[in-house]
Amino acid sequence: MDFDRLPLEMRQHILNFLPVPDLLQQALVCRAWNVLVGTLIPKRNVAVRLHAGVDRALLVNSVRKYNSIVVYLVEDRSTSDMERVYELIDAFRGKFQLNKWYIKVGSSSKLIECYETFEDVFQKLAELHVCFLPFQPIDARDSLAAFYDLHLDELQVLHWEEPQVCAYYSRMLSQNSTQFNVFAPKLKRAKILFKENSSSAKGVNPYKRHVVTAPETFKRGKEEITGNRRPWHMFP
Amino acid sequence: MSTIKLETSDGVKFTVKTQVAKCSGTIRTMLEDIGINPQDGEAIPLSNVHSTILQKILVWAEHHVDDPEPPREDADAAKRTDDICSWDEDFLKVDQRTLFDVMLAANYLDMKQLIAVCCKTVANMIKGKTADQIRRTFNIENDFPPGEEDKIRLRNQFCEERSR
Repeated sequence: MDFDRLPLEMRQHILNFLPVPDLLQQALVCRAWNVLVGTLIPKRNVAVRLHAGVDRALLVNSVRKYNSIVVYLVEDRSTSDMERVYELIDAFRGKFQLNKWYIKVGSSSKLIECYETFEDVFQKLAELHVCFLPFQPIDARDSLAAFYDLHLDELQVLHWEEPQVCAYYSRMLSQNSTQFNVFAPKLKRAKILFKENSSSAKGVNPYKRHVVTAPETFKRGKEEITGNRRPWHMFP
Repeated sequence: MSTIKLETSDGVKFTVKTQVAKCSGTIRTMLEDIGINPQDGEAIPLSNVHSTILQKILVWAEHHVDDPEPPREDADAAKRTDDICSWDEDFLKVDQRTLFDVMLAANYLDMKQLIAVCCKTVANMIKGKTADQIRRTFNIENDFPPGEEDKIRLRNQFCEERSR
């Protein structure tokens, strides 16, 4: 077994050249390789999708350490499904250093609910990617605050993606949308994207103006903001 | 042109141009920092390297002696394996045992460029293969307890790569 003769850092060096799908395949070769791949997963921007169908023990009782998760927070999941997802996040929070979070979210209310459930995790996140999914059914019972503060004390990277509100839905969506004020005193990089909607780009929701409070050291020009109305303010 | 002598694990002495020998970070450190004086005519002992492998490595070093310093690699950059020059490709067309011996020697001699090109070569041997094919290629035994492989396969399904 020639491979075993190589020192660990060299074996890592080799696997670093492999794309992630190949890397995951290597975990199936033998126990030693599985351990090796496990150590590389947090470094290779591999995230775990947590959804109701995931067996918690399968992910938690493994040599792999995850620091990055993908969660779908959408309205048409049943309440028990959402509870299972929250249980999974809870298990992950106890076991791993969760510092990157990718959220696909259907509505402001879901995001707020999740934030309030895991406020302590959010405060330790280094990276947060929020992507609002377009045209989610709106729960009329939601009565939302016009403003909501997100405190992300350790956050260094923020990606925020929202579909541009189209004219037809703007009134409806404005009821369902909250202005998020993001406080990120350690922010280094931000990418804010308001996706253009080709058929009705004129219908911009006038109420929605998220605010990011970044540290004074935050370099202007590092943020990328797209969208025709630029409804995003950077402070300072 | 100044030369130095190197002595391998099996007692063979090589006379090498100093410049070529300095492709090795280990030898460079010995000469420059520790101040071993090559003019003494005493050979530098390389107790971890066999003569057949050193012979091969010296051929590589001779060919690459004038290479410019490689640019500092961005740790986050996508790693390419398709940029091995054709000379190196031919050079590394050897049996697996020799390839791994060269890698170990390159590691001991601290030759970053040679290490990188060897690792890329091995990565290319792995790429696109199933776990079973890998085991056969490198003669690795499947030592998973029953059921464990299926669990890993399941775990893999929940993993996805995120762009930065």
